[in-house]
Amino acid sequence: MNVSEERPPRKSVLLSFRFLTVSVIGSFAMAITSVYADLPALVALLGALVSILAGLALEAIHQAETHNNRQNKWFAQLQVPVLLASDANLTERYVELSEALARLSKCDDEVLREVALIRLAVLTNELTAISTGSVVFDSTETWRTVYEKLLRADDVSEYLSVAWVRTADYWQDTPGRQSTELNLQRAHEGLLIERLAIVNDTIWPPEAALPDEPIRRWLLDQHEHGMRILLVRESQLKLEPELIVDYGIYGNRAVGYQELDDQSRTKRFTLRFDHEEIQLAKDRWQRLKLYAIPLWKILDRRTGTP
Amino acid sequence: MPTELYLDTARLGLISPTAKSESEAYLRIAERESASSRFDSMLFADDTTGEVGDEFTTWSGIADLKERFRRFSGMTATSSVLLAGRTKTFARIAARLFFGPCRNLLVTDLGWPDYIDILNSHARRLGRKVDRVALVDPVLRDRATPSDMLNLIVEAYRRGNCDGLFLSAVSNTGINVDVCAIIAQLENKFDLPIVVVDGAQHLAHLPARLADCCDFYFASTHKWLGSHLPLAVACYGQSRSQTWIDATVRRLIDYDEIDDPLLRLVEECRSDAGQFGETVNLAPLFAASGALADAENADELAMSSQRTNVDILGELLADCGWQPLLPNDHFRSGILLAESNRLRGAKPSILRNGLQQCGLAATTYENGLVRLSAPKKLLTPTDLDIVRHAFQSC
Repeated sequence: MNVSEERPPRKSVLLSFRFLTVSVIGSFAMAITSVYADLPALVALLGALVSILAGLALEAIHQAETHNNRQNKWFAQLQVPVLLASDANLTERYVELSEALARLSKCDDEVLREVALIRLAVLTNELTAISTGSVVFDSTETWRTVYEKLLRADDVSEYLSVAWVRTADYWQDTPGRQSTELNLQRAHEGLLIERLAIVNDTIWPPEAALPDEPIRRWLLDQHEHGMRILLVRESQLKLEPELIVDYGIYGNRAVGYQELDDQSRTKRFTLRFDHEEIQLAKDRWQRLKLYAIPLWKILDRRTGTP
Repeated sequence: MPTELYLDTARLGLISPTAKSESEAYLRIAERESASSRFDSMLFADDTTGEVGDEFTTWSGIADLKERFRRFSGMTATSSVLLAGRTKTFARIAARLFFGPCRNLLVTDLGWPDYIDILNSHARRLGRKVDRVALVDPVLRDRATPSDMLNLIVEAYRRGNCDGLFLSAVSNTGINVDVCAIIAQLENKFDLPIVVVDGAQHLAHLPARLADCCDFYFASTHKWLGSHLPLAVACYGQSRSQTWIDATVRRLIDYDEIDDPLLRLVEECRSDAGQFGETVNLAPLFAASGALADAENADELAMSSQRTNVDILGELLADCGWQPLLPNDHFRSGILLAESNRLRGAKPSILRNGLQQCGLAATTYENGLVRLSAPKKLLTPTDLDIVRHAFQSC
């Protein structure tokens, strides 16, 4: 279909009813005025009319510009569903959200609207963070689900982990044991896992060859499954405290930071899917490695049996 | 023509006297007992009557055989020994061990190609690397010294940022490598979480006890030990890796990832799980027991006789117009390589048959290369005449 066929034919402005009416009435009024008024009054009246017309024209132009800008913004927002069209999952969520917002817009209850706006602000912040590659899990162990997905990802062939072991409870609870089991299983399946444990001196006293139980057994289990284990005492890092962080680097996909409470339960786990962040984490890993000793060297009877 | 002098031990050794008598005893018992419960008792040495095992002179059960191999390899009392149907099983276990912690493994061209292929394919599958350092030509053609070899290995290890090492104690070309010195150097300078040594040409050939300086040592009994029937043996006992290797072997068996019925039978012993597994050829166990007894009682002078034989054969071959490839003294073993420019284009099978026509059994390769495995008793003038005649006739 030809678009021009849909439009009504354009009429000349000179034949417009509004133009003709205003012009005829205005001309008639000026003709009467010119008969009864003297010349200066007539000039003053004309000047006032011209000024009013100029003001109206400027205002009309400004309003047209504002209208155009608003229209362009709407057009840009209308592109969002077009962009999402190729992703069925996101489109579904977009439609659900749009429908929910539409329902909210019809809601009269002010309290409900207020609550909705507060919750929406939180949701928007979280979504904005995720869209820039950052996911935060607060006071929950659910991060381990994403952790498992990353360790099983086809393009993750290497997992570098820094375990900041401050208490003997570290990864000893049920979720922690399950994650350890996943590590052992993936190591057996061929994933290269290198874990560097920063161990607090209370668990690994200076005179001891290896950390105390149960951390000792936890580390040996991993070693016996072909994982590469390295150890460093926390006190050795006192001059470089910025290296004391609990994190994991999942190939070139992501880096995850774990914050624990005093009982070694997860306070927060932040995942960053960001190449710059991954590079920074790898640089920090290399610096940390300078302080660490491989477990095989500690176990080697030629260098000292535990 | 029948073989008058057998110098092909590097491929398959002559059966030793006790290996032969133990094999015969096994067959006599098989005629009566086959797979009876009494035979099982004898196999695992819990025969309360003692009747079945009387036929044997050396056999005292699988555990005893493993213990004797442990002592023969010079390993500590707490070390572990594995027995399997073939050495490739141990190469596969080595691959699993390496590509746990290693990103880049260093191998040499002295390694047996089949083992290197196994390591390469495993590395490829997991996205790891295998670097290879060339040592054969520097040692055989350029007469490199042990220090040159060490430098080549250290440089390759450094360049490749390697973190694992696979060495052959004695190559199939007869190059005897001082693996303990190399391992000690690398351990001092680099990250070396695991070293595996292939001793297929080493066990019962050279006296050095190597199993104690590496993490995993494997060999075969049918070459220099003289069991004739193929059996593979592995030893390990380093405090840093023993439990790791134990656990790895256990998992490979449990997950059915190792296809070696003999290894499974020996490791599962008499557990209910292993009782109705695949039927296994047990004859190599008894032959190995007999061969090991002969090696345990071997004359200590045998090694020097073998070395003398290599020198004599080298001179003799040179007199016959062949070029013996003699490396630096430190690399010499009981294997001698010789080549003939005149026969460079000859097919190995034709060359081998030609030597056989004169009563000599030897190994032949492309480009007119011949390998002689020197016996451990001094060659007699008659033996030397056979060799002279064979090489002059070719």
